[in-house]
Amino acid sequence: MELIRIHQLGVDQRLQDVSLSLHRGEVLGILGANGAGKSTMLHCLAGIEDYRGEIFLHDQRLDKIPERRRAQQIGFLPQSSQSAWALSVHDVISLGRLPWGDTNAEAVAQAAAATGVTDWLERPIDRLSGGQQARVWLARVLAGQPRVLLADEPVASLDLSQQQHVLQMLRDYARNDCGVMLSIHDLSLAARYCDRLCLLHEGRLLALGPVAEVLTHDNLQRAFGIDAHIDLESQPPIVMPR
Amino acid sequence: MARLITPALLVLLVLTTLASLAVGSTSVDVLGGLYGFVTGQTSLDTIVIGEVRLPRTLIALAVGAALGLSGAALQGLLRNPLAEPGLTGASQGAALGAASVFYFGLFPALGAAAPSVAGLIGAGVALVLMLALAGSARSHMVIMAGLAITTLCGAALATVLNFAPNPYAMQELVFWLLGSVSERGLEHLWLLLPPLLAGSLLIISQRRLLSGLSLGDQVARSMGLNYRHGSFMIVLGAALLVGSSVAVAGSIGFVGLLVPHLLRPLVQNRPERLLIPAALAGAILVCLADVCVRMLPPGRELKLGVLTSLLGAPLFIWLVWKERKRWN
Repeated sequence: MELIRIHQLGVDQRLQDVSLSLHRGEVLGILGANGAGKSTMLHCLAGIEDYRGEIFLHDQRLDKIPERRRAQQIGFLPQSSQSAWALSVHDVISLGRLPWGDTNAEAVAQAAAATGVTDWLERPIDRLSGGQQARVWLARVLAGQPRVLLADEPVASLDLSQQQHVLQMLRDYARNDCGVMLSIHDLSLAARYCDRLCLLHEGRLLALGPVAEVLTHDNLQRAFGIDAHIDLESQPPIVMPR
Repeated sequence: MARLITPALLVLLVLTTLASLAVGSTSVDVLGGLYGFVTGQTSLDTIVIGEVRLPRTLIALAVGAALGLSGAALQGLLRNPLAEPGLTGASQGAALGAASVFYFGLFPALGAAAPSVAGLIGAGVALVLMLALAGSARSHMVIMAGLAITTLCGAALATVLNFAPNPYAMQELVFWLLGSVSERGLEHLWLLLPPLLAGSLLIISQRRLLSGLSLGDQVARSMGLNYRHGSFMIVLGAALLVGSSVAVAGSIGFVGLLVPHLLRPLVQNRPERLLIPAALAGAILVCLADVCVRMLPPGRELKLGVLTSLLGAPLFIWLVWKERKRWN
């Protein structure tokens, strides 16, 4: 069952004729070199970038849905986050409830527990390490309880253990009848945690499908210009440039 | 603590208002005078309270609230603790409008209210120019366009001063620009109130946006907040507030910058919770400063704007020092 359907999405020269869909319970990984259009696509879905083409959320055109209702359904975790003020961790997570206009204490507590930040709720966000902050930003999105979670490079600034923790959490979230679309540079992690992959190259869709169909020598050569060692059978899968 | 801040400031506001009504060159019965004014009696107390101290107090409160609120709103919108109401260009626009009255003798029929009316027009023109130049309400564009219009109005103001017809006109203008709420009547308050109410409503209607903007405009927009429309409303509201307050009371420095800065820790740094306390504290601060002005020994009056700057600058230096220690 489709949560999101994208038809011939285009943004200037950055993204051209991209069509794909996100299913319930699925983690869809967006891959591509820098400038391939990963963030642009997520921005279109998050309602912060104008686009050509059509995006459907539950069979309803995204641009026809009131902004607030869209935000209740689609949560967005940007590539880098920063709080202008020294807000407490609890207040940052509560901001995730803005689309709903409430302060649902249960949702906030659940999000804090899921990301393991419950112990720091009263601490100012600027006193946490980068990795700790990344978990709080994710908790903020989870507090909004969106059906679709968009994450732009959610593990870029995390250590190895945190990377696994966050990706497993996103996977668990998706399994709960939701959908997760995330951009990621680490191909091994993408192979391990994503159900399907979408490979973008210079704003166009190069490959879309199950991991084994997308992470091929030819595709990686075209998209990244690398000769890759690919072993998807090992546990965990390994995809590395030689 | 955060819950108590607004009630505590309200109590302080009432006390400040009563003090402001009580302080002056003659000793009067404040409550009796107020009652007499409301019931239309004519006694000395009634005249002193109703025609001198009440307008002065209310204007000081209104101007202070306008500066505090607009400062808090702009700092929240631009996500910059150094943003201040003058950034919109409306402040210099109002000063230029008022200066034109002294220079060209505009609106003679309006009498003492003429500089304020011209100031309002000047603030409005500067605001329209700034918003047209900025194109969007992106924070850096507002700062750049505001700076450009402020510079333009400053240059025009300097030209007016340069060619002032006589030294007295120039002196009058300079004193007016220094900021004061003395010798203002209720007609000034009626002039100030509509833009003040409109500006406050515009800003307060965007509380959710200010809250979401803590995490940047991308996050705010992804949470369904209309950044383009909302930030335009905040800039418009702030410019209305500051333009009208400068038009009526001249330039009163540091209130819009310092008040939000001082109160921020007391509201857990939440920009949307800062608005009302900043308005109340701004009102208290300007009114108290005006009481101080009146308590100084007789002679040449120390202008209110000069006093707020004299008090504000050391406070600001202290804040910079505190901030520096935090980062070291």
